[in-house]
Amino acid sequence: MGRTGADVTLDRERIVRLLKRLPRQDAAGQMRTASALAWIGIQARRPDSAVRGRLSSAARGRVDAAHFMATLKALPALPMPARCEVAMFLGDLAGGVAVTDLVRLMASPDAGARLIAVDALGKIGGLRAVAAIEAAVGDVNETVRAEAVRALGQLAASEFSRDSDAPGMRAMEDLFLDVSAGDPSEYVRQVADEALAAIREASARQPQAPTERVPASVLSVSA
Amino acid sequence: MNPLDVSVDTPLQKLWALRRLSEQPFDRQEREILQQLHRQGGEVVQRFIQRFGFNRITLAVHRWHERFRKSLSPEAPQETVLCAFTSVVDRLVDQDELKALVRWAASELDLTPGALLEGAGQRAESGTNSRNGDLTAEVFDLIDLIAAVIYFFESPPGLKPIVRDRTLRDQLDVFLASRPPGRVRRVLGGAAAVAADVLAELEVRDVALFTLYHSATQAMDHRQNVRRMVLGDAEAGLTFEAAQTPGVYRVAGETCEHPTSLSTVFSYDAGFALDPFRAFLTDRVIFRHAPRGPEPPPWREIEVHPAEGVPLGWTLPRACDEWPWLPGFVRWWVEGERLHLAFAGEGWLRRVADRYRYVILSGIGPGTFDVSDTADPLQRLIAAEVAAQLRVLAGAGATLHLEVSGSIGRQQRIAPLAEALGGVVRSLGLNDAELIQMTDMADFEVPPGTEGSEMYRRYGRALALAERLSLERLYVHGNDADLILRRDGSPGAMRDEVAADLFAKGVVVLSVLQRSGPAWQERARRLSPVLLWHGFEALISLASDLAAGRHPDLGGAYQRQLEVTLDAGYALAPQAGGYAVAVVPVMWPSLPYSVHPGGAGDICSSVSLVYAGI
Repeated sequence: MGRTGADVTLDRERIVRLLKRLPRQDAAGQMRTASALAWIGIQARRPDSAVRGRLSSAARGRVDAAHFMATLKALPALPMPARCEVAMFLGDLAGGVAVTDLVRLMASPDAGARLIAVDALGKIGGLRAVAAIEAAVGDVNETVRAEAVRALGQLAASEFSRDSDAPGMRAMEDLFLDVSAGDPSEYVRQVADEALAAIREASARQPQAPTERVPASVLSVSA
Repeated sequence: MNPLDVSVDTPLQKLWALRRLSEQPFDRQEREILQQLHRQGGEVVQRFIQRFGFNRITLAVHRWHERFRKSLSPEAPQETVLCAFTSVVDRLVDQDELKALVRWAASELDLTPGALLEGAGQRAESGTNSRNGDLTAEVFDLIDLIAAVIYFFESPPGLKPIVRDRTLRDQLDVFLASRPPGRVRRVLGGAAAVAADVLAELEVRDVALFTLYHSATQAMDHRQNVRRMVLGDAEAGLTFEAAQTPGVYRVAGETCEHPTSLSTVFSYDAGFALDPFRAFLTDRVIFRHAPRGPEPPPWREIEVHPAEGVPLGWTLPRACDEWPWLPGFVRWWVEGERLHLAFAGEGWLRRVADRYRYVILSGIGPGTFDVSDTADPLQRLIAAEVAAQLRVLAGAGATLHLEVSGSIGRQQRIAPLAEALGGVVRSLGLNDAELIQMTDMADFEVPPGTEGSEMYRRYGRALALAERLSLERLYVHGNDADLILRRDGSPGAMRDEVAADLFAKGVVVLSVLQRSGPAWQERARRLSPVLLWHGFEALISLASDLAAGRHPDLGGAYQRQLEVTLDAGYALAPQAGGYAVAVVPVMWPSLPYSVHPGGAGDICSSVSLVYAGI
């Protein structure tokens, strides 16, 4: 057991038990288990932000990567609602190990599934996740595009609030400016404007004196 | 920078500023919704989570948040709107003044506060006033007044009793005048006056107000660009004045000011106590007063003229400075020692209908038309004249919307209202408590088959009421979600309804904040978040129960229906001639106690009507 950033007890044994059980169940059982996992993830979120990673580095998993493997392997075969439910859980508790499968979910023809995948990748962060989210900025679905822009904005704000000299600030600004100027949806353009303002504000807030880099506020629990 | 630190001149700029103020980070709100739904959501929500998972709620929250944000920048409709008939000045009394009132009343009655509260408590328990009438409808003395407040503490919602006694009215005036500055505030009230003011501020093309009396006190609380329609004599037709200009009349060569309509509003927070009595909900009780003019009045007799036929004399049981009030398009004048009140005839009404596409009506309800048990010829005349006026307006092409408010008793009947409104009033607005009152009327039967969540039962009542009154549109506003029923509503019409309602709710928050006094921007900074879990609980509940009701096998059709309602916010009618329904979770901050929400429902109803269109 350990404490999360949200000050909620994380029941590692239960998570491991559920992860092991999920691939072996029937569809109804998988949905129940997936929801139980998703609920653990929701409870573990920090109150102010669900984002755990940064642009340049993926969040560390809150459970050892090895425990996710069986579930990740089973993920493509799960019915879509259970798959999305697990994706939520991965976003809240997994690290870089989940990125490949979440990126795969982004290829779904279901816009809802793509949105859940972008949301989860936006919580984990890291270069591979960011590349996939950047691709989603061009999604055909307006809500998915908006979520992609919002997720990038949060990851970038997380990055630049700690280090305004971190690489990528300019690239992110350019991306948001492009979206703000060119997206066909006024709503997505607004989200891009807000993301731009947020990273500039985060960058400006950064303390003058260099500080020691602080790791993301996640708690890794070894098996 | 704080959004309200920049220039916010137009209503839309103010709305955007308010949204930014009240919008906490999306992650925080999403987490709160998911957690509260899991912990406190009803049975339907728990079943939904089991079947579809948290991810489905996450998707709905994303989509509604997006829709909410998109709804805030509509263009003002190029419409013409007349709001009639109610206008009043509300005196808002701080809740702590209720304790002062008890002390003051006890001293007036030579009682201890405890003895006064004990007596008032007994009266509240009996539900009858000092004249053995309905305490929730009329009050005659100080004990009645306090008993009514206690009654509504324990049996919300607070209604609008009338102060029927001159001595009580004067005592209330003396008490209010004795209070320290700032404890009693004056704001514009009355559904018609408030709706006209807000629509004019939103720059709807042509907005006017019609009300029987328009005193200087009422006029000074209006905004600049509201106009007041005046029924002149038959040749003059319709004339208009700025609503900021007080209404006057002439008697014996002198110009006199219109009488004033006042009400006194006691607001209180949930848990507020007049020991041992405690308010169950945050609410308010409105004590209505008859319009008041100079004393003595410039008339001794009243004569009521139908549009055609013989006038009737009217003897008011009234204090000597009180004036009569009639619903409907009525013009009046004083001649000799007689006050003449004349219902406008067909010619005037056709001119009104020619000029205004929408006529938003208030001040009429079931009691206006339920006259079969009364021998009073005047009540019968009023019912017949108002019904005839509505028929002429509708027949001449005006779209009539009725905003229901005030007391609706179980002993009243729906049939006379249905007869008067059927095929005439196309749209009706009311709140969820009034919906229950109307569908609990003596001769109303809600059809069986609407068991399920509270939201689904509300929908069942709304459907029954819309059918009973032959409405094209019914708007039920609530604190968790709004319901809008449209007969044969198309997907486009229902999408417009959803967008208009989201916008209207924002306008309500802005409007009541602005009316809360000069410190409204400070209050705005303390607004709660916009995404509220109980709004989503209402949405999920109705979407689930509605789909299950139409597709009991819970198969593919059930799931498709549920998803459309959940994400788009509406379900089409199951058959031609039926009602489509929109369900809109409340997505604006709840208001702090210090902000009087009076008129909020009226604003919401009228704004959504004009912006959605019918």
